[in-house]
Amino acid sequence: MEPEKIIKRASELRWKLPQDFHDRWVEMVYADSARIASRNVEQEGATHRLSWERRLDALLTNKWSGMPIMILMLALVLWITIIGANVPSSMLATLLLDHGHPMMKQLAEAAHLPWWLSGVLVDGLYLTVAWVISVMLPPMAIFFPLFTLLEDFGYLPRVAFNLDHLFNRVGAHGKQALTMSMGWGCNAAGVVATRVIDSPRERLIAIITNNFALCNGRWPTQILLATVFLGALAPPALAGFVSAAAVLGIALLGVLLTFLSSWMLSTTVLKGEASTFTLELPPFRPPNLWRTLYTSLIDRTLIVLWRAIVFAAPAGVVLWTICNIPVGDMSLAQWLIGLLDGPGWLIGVNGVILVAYIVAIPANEIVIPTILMLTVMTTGLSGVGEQGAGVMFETSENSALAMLLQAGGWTTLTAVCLMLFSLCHNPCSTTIYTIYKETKSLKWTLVSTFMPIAYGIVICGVVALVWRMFTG
Amino acid sequence: MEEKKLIQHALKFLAECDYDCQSASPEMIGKKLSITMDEVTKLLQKLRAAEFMEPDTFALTGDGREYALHILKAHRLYETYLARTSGHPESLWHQIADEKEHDLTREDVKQLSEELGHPRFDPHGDPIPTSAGELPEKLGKTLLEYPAGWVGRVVHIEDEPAELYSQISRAGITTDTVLRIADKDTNTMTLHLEGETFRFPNEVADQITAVKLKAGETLDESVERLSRLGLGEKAEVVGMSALVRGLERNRLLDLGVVPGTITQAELRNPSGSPVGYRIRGACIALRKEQTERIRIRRVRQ
Repeated sequence: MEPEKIIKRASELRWKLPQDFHDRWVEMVYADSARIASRNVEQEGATHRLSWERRLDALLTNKWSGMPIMILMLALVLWITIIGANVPSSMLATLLLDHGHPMMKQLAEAAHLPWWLSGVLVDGLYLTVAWVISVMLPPMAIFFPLFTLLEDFGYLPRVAFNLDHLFNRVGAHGKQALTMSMGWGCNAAGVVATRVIDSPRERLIAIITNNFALCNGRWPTQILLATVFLGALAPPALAGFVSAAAVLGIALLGVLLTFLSSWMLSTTVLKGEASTFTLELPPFRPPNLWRTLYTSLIDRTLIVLWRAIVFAAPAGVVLWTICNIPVGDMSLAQWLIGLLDGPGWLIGVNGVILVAYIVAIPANEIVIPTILMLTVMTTGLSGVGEQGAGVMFETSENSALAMLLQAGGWTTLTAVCLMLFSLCHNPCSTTIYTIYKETKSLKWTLVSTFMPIAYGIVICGVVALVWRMFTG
Repeated sequence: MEEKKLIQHALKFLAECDYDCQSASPEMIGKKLSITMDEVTKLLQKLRAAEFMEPDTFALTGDGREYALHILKAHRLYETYLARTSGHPESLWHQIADEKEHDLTREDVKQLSEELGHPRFDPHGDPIPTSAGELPEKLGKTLLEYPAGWVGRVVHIEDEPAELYSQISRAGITTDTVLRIADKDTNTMTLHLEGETFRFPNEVADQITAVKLKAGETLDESVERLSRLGLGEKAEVVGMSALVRGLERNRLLDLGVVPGTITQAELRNPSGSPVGYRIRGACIALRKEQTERIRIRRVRQ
């Protein structure tokens, strides 16, 4: 036959094949390879589940027991983290801040450094980095190993299985429950953890919304404000309960916002991204304690801590500089505060808070110390923060704190709005950088950065407006 | 609508009429493009001035047909592309492709066809013209023309209007589905496939085109959908519906959802979805939308 005829015949026949010919073909290739494998591979042991595994699975994913066990486990992990981190945190603070800082000061003096250099290096850089380490390291070093242990045991995939139908409704993946809880420890780690979600759309949703999981740098802010301002409103017997409920309320609002924005994202900007679902439920196995400790310390804690330090160090320099370099008759910080007081008032906070949030982009941990420092600077109060103007400090005396903040013009509204703003603002720069590394996309990094701020401005603005309408 | 888009839509419509062996009329063009009769008259003048249409009939000239096939190809390839790589719901493919087809150059279309492995049909079963402009002859008739009890294979599903199409896609009916007309009366038609029964109004059934089975082919009554499998029951995978596409198809194949795999439902979420299935030694949870698209045959315990 002539070549032209063959080609013509072939293209005629081409249309005669079934439409799903390619799919069938690939399926048969897979089926053949599976047959070849099962003929030639010997498998040791049984692949069926043991009866205790079956019973445990039934217990963990049951309609009645599944949810309570989950909440209990989460509460336990958070409780161990908070309680357990207290001691090492205060030890680190004593070591690095109470003793380390004066020692560094003396060293700088001994080396005859000019005042500005010693200020930048010791009061700016060293103090900020020391602060971040002492607040961040202990909770992360406890939270992440606990989390990894649960993951290793096989419990976390069951949580994803239990919650999948909720996440499915907003167009997300059940495993987002895990990355969200990981975000309660640290958003940067939560963003890295989204790698377990193999579907591109659901993974982006999990990354962008992770910031609504209140991270460990923000819990102390919430607890402090709730205790000082909201707990004080209630009778003393109920004060603890009221402040705990307020903090829990903010965390739950974060969960609600996660669902809301997941739904918004999946029905608008992310509609066209490819999506698939599979969730493996691995067999239960005793976790490997040492390996878990090692990997969670190296892979999660240290990497995140290192990134935080890298970002916090320059921020310390900037912070000290704007507070101590005068422009005209005021420091740069005071100019900024004056500039931002107006917009701050609109959303129920003040210029000091906004400046603190701008400077403290690297780490949420230094927001409160920065606010205290700036408040002292603007009010000119004495008796607190003996280390001098432009140096961060914290106080353990709640009454002194309340007095200081009230002198700075704070009201209950300020505290409520700050709590809301702390939940809804841009992620810290470590997280932003991690988002960029994970998505490799400037667009999604910008969306993840600015979407929460937009939420924060709207929510705080509405709360401030309504509040002022009712209180006159 | 811009003039270029109008011209392209008109050409596409005329080529489709030609393929369906229907004669076009100005009213049909006006309805299809949602424009007034005055606009249709002006449009036809332009098409004839550009020598895309014969001066006195509604037939396309050689140039016109060539141009129309390019747009048709761009449209159908883009739908295939959306089906395989995007997460857009089926009901949106047509609409997005209708916009996108105007921006694709001949070079783009060639490249897209190559990237997709020169697909022959779009997801609705419409043939995609080859580079030589060939199309196969039209096969099959709409379901309404077949009697009750008839068994056949779906070859095409009309994707417009979208609300009728989405009823069909929700039922999991797709090209290559083998079905039986279980019952028909004056207004509705009952279809039986993959162990499920669906009742559609006639206007929906009219959207489905089917052909009779080839010699030796039968409707396998033992085939069901995985979603029907109860806890603890075992089944053998028969295959995946053509609705499982792209990334998802690859993922499921990789996990071992291939013909011949024995699977067992092990764990059910209280809400009914997802359900954990034992597949090749691992427990994999799948959502209901997915298990409705996997065909199985029960095996005895």
